[in-house]
Amino acid sequence: MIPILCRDLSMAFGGVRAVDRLDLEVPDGALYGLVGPNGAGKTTAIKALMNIIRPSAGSTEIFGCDSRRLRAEEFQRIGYVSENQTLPDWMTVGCLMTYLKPFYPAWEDARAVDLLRQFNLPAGRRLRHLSRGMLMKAALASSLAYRPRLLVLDEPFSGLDALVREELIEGILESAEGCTILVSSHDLADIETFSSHIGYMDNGRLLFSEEMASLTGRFREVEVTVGMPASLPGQQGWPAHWLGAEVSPALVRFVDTRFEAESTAAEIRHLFADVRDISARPMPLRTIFLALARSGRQLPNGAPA
Amino acid sequence: MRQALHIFSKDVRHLRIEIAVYLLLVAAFGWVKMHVMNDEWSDGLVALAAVYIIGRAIHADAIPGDRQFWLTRPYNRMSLAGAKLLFVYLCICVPIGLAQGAVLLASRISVASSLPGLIWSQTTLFAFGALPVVALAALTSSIVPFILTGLTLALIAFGGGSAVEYWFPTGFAAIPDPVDWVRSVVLAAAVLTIALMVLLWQYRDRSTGFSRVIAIVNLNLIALLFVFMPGALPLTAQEWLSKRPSLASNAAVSFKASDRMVPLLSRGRFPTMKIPLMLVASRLPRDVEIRSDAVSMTLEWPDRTWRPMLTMQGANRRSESATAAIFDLILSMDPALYQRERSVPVTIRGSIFLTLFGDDERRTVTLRNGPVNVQDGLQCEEGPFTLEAEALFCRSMFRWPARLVYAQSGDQISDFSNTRISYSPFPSNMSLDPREVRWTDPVKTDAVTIITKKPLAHFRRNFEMSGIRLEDLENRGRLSPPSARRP
Repeated sequence: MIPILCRDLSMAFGGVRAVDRLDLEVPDGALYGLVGPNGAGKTTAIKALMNIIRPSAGSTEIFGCDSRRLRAEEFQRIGYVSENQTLPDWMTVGCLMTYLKPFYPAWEDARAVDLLRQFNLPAGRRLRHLSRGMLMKAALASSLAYRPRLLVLDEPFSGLDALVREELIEGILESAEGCTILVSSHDLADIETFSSHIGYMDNGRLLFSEEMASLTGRFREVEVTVGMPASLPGQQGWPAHWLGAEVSPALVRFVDTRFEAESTAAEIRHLFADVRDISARPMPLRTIFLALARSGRQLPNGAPA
Repeated sequence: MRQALHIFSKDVRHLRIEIAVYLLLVAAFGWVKMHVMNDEWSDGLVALAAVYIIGRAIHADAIPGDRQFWLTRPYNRMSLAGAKLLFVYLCICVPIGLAQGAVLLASRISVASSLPGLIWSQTTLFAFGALPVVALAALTSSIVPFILTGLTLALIAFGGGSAVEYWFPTGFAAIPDPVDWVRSVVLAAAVLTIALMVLLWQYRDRSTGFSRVIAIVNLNLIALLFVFMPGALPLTAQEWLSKRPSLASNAAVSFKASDRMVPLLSRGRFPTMKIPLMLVASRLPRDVEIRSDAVSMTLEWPDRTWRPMLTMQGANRRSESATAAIFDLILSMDPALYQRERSVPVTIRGSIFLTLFGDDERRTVTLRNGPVNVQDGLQCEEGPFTLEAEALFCRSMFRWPARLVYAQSGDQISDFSNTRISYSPFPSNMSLDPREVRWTDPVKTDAVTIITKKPLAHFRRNFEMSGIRLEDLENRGRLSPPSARRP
């Protein structure tokens, strides 16, 4: 059963479309990073997914269950942590864990204790006296103690220092076994180190969604050294999947969004007469998205966003 | 159920300080009710504290909003609603009930006769007092909008009520005190229905926008109903509830010019022509007392119809053994209209709603040695206050009995504001104060007979007279015999 499925999901506030016909599928066992700039619609989509808000159109499903009909039984298998969530701040950390325990048949006391220790959370301290990072850790610990089958994290790393971020990521990765995880973030560096899948949202739409290995495999920063500058043709005839081309007298640099060593080399030799050298460097996720953004937010296949 | 108890205990732990303060206030309320006769501030204070705590409890797991942690936790919505209602009942209503019970025990009024009142008081407090507050809290996301909305509603209710009373004096005041309970019941039922609908939608579907619209629309309808409910409606309902309607089956009512007074121009800021009239109720059963609950009249000239303001003048003129009673009333009229129409033939139509009281109970007691319990849950004593030392006080728990109550000492008979009794069949008022105290003129307290009379039959009679002139009323007895008809 697919853990998360959105079909044609739209969400409008007044006249503004926060989410626009979103199709999203998170496969079982995936650690899915949903990235995009602030205001892209990630949080809204997740809220619709978790039945916190009602979508204007379209449908969302969690483990095959319509989100609008999520009941207590479904939420016993789901963990949700959000930077926007308001916890009962009068409770202590220990009190929060004790309070939540009866709601989850699969709650493990030993795991709860381990999580508090792992996250260095003081059980006796009130939530209102915790720092932002500690609060996120407390929320995460309270969502991991029952080994959820689906963990949804909405901007969990926002505003956290590097150390806390690492602790959270460790905690998430330790729970990854047997669990599907959806993490949203506007910071690509947070996501790329551990995501198995990646989706990019902007202006309420999902621009692409694919496995991380496939994405990083097909994006290359290509440099072509040519012997005869006069032989450089105009860019009009260049393939649409070459983005951000920069041309200097003896050097052409671009991002290939469909890199395959042989076919890319063949295309280059076909276009340029006197190719001396071709180098292709793998790109970090951040650079890939920057290239996409600079190229006018075009889809890798050239379709407009 | 277990989840509801779990959430309930969380709320109690969360609000333990507020609850402790509230319990102290309720205890003070109980103490004040035991020791201070004229007190209203403690009721207001307890009510405000209760509203505040209800708001806090509901907002601990607020329904509107998208940031509450419980939204993505395995909460059973009905358990959540159950937990909140349990909190409101146990932490808000029960303490008030205990305080009222303590006042009852301290007063030494018969517990058996007051117990239904205590139970009903708890029921109404929860259903008509607390549930609407819970519904309002369920429509707001935090305590600030909750309080602001509550204040706005209170302002609209009081301000709007005063404005309506100013603009529509006859419409607003048309329902007489004894039957005003019918309007209260209709409105309380309507408010309760809205509250239950809102709670159901909110806790089941979280349809805040929809619930708010429904609540606002229905509250407006209720306000209109409250203001413009026709006076005849509760009077007619009361007629249906007559215990012995056959008692009044032969009664007839006729209309006459007053045999005592003549029309008089009352000068002043608003000059008014006051026209005295008489309504004669005849063929009444013996040994019953008759009272008028309301009278209405229209004057119909060929070119206009006018509904005057009528004022009943004192009690009716009747001896107990007689089979007829005379009601004196004054018709107030604009002098210009009177002058213009006085010689034009007019048709006068009207209705009078009457109640027969009987089945007297009497108990003679000596009040010199402190309070004495008498019939119908009443407790009477010689004026307990310095200022009213000579007066006779009677108190009753949860409501004043639906009876005419008199104190007889020798030849002197005094009543206890009998025009303000309510015919309500319910054993308590909608009030936090468990006591209702009334007093009467000074009487000799060594031997006082307390007399109570039950309402036996409520009935209406219509009257009509055609072709008379108002100027005819200027000369006593010149009116021709009226026609009377059954409704």
